[in-house]
Amino acid sequence: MSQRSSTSQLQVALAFATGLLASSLLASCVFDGVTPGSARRALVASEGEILLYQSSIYGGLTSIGLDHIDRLVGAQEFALQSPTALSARGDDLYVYDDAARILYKYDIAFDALSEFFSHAAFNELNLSTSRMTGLYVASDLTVFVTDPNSGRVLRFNREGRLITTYADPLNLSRPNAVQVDEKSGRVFVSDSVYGHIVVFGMTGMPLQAINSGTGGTGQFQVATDITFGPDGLYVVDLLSKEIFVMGLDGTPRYSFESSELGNPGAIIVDEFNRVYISDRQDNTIKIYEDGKLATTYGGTGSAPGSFYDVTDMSLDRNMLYVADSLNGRVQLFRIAPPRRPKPEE
Amino acid sequence: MAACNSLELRLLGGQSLKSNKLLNFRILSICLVLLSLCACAGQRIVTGELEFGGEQVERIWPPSPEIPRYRYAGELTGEQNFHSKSEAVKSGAAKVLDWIVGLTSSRKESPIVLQRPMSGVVDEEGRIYVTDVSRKAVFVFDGVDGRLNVWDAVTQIGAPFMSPVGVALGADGQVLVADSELGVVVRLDREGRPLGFIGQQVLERPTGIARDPERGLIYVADTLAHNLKVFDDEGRLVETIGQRGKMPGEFNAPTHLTFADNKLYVTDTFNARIQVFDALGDQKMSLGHRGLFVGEFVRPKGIAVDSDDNIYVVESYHDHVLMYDEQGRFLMAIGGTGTDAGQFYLPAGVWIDSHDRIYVADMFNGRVEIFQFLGGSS
Repeated sequence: MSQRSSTSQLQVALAFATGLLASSLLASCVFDGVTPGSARRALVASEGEILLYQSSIYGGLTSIGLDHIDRLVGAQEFALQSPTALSARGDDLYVYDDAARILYKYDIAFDALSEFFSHAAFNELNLSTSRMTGLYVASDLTVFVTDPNSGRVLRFNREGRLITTYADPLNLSRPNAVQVDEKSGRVFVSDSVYGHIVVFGMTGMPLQAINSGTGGTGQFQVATDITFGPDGLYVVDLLSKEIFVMGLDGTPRYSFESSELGNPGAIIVDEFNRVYISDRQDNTIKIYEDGKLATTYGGTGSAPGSFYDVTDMSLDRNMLYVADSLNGRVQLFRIAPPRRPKPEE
Repeated sequence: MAACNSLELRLLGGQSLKSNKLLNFRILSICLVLLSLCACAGQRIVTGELEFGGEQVERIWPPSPEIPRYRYAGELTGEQNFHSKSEAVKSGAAKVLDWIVGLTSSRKESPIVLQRPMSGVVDEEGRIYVTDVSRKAVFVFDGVDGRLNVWDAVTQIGAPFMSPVGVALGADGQVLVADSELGVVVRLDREGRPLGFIGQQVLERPTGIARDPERGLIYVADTLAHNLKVFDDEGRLVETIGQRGKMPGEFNAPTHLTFADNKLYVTDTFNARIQVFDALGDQKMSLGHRGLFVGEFVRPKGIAVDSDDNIYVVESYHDHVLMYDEQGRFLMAIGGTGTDAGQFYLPAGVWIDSHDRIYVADMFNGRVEIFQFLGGSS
C-alpha cells in the first residue's frame, strides 16, 4: 500500500515535471509558420538573443528547364555533401560543395538546386581541381568566384556565362575571399599567400594592394575572410586572431583582439556594426559588439543551431546563411535587431 | 531548437517510465491547466485612453515639395498606448514610497507589450486586434472601452494559442484567428471567449485570413498546402482554390490575404506577386514581379486596400511598404531599416481602418506603426 502511494507520488512528481517541461517546451519554440515546407521560423523574442534559427537546406530538387515544380517528371534530389562556401542575395543562393566539387545555385523560393556550371564548362575553366573558398553575389546578381589554383577571380552572369576575369600574376597568387564594394564597383580579393588584399576595378584592372607591407602595426598577416560593414573593410587574421577594420583605401581605422577565437573561419558584419565570426575550433559563431565578445552561439553537433565546421557565412538583409560544412547543410538564421531603447517615462 | 529537442526527448523518456498512462495524462493535463491558470493570474488589466502618440513626431511622405500623401500617426506598442488616469495622478509621496520600497507590484510585473506583432484588423467600432506570434496572443487595443486586452487562450480548458498569424472579423461580431501551429482557425466572441474551430484536419498551416461579408465566406491561406481554402460562416469547407505552381491562379506559399471591394487580394509570397481574385474565385489581376529594386518583390507579406483602392504591400526583404494604384502601377514607398518613424525591421502585416489609417506590423521592432492617408487627389 505504502509502496503504491509512493509510486503514485512519484508519478505525480513526474507528471508535474513533465508538465513543466511541456510548458517550457511550448514557451521556447513556436513558429509563425509563414515559411513553407520544413522551413519554420522561431520568432519568440527573448532577451538579447541575436540569432534566431529558421531552417536548414540539405539539398533540393533539380529544376533545370522545368517551369512547374509541382509537375516535375523524373525530378532528381540533390543532397549537399560538404558546403564550404556560399553567398546569397534575394532568391539566389550559391553554394560550393567541396566534396562534390560542384558550384550549386539554389532557388530559395522554389527549393530547387541546380548545378551552376555544366561539368564541361567546369572542366574547361579548369575549376574542377580548384577548391573555391570565396563566393560573392553582387547586387546585379552576377556572381564572383575565386579560383585559387589559377590565381584569379571569375565573374559570371546569372546564366553562368563568364563576364570578367580578375587576375594580377604579380600580386595575386591564391585568392581565398572576394567582396565587392557596391558603391564604387571595386572588387576586393584577399590573397592567402601574400597576405594582402588586391583591389580591382569593375572591368578587371588591378588598382591597389592593401596591407602590402609586412608586420607593421595595424597590419594583418593572413586574412581568412574579409567583409564590408558600417566602418569599412573588416579583416579577420588567422594568425593573430585580431579583427582589423580599415577604410576602403586601406587606411587602418581600428582593430580589436579576440583571444576567444580558436580557429577563425568566416566574418560577417551587420548594419548595427555587430561582428560575427565563425570559430572552427569549438564550432560556434562569436558575436562582437564594440570590440568585445557579446555572445557565443552554437557548439558542436548536428541539431539545429549546432555546427560542425562553419567555413563560410553570408548575410543577406536580415538573414544569415551558414555553411555548416561537415553537417552537409546550410543553416539559416534571422538576425534580430538590437533592443529598442525603452520609451521615456 | 537544440533545447527543444532535448526537452522533447526527456518528455518522451518521462512518459515511457509511467505505467498508468491514462492517469498520468489526466495529471499532466491538470498540471498544464494549473500552469496556464498561474500564468493568467499574473495578468494585469490595463485601462485608460488609447493614444497613438504620433503628435511628437512630425513626418510626411513623400517629402516636400511633393504633395504629402501620408502622415506619421504614431505607433502601438502595448500598455504605453493607454494613458492611465490612475497612474497619471499618482502623488509625489507615493512615488517616493515606491522608490524607497523599491519593488512595488507594478514594477515587478513585466509590462504588457507587443513582442512580434504579425498582422491585425480594426472592427467597425475602432477596436484594433493585433496577433503576436511571440507572445502567442491577440492584443486588443480597445479604444472604445479604454482597455488593453490580451487574449491567449483559445479553448475552454485554457490551451493557449501556438502561433496566431492572421486575424479577421467574422459574422455577428466574431473574431477569427488563424493559428499556423494549431492548424485551425479559432472563432472568438467579442470578449475573446472561444466559440470553436474551423478547418480542423483540413488546414495544414493556415496563415492569412479574410472574409467576404456579403457572401459569408471565409478565405484562409494554407501556406504549406499552397492553396486557399474557402469556408462558409458555419465552418464548412466550400472550395479549395489553386495548387502549387507559377501559373495564374496557382500559388507558391500564399501568406497574407485581404478582401476589399468585392475582390480578394492574395500575397503569393514565393512567386513574388499579388494575385487579385473576384468574389467568384477567378483570377483577375497579378501585381508585381520578382526583383531587387524598390517596387519589385522578393518577400511580399502584408496586403491591404484603402478607400481610394490603392493597394499596400509590405516587402519584408527591404523593410518597406509599397503603394500601388488599383491597376497595380507602383506609386511610392515608405520604409528603410531601422527604428525611426517610417522605418521597419522585418515588417509583416498591413491593415487599414475606416479613417484610412494604415497600420503596419513592424514585427522585429515589436510595434505597429500607423500612417494617416491624406488622400490621393490633386
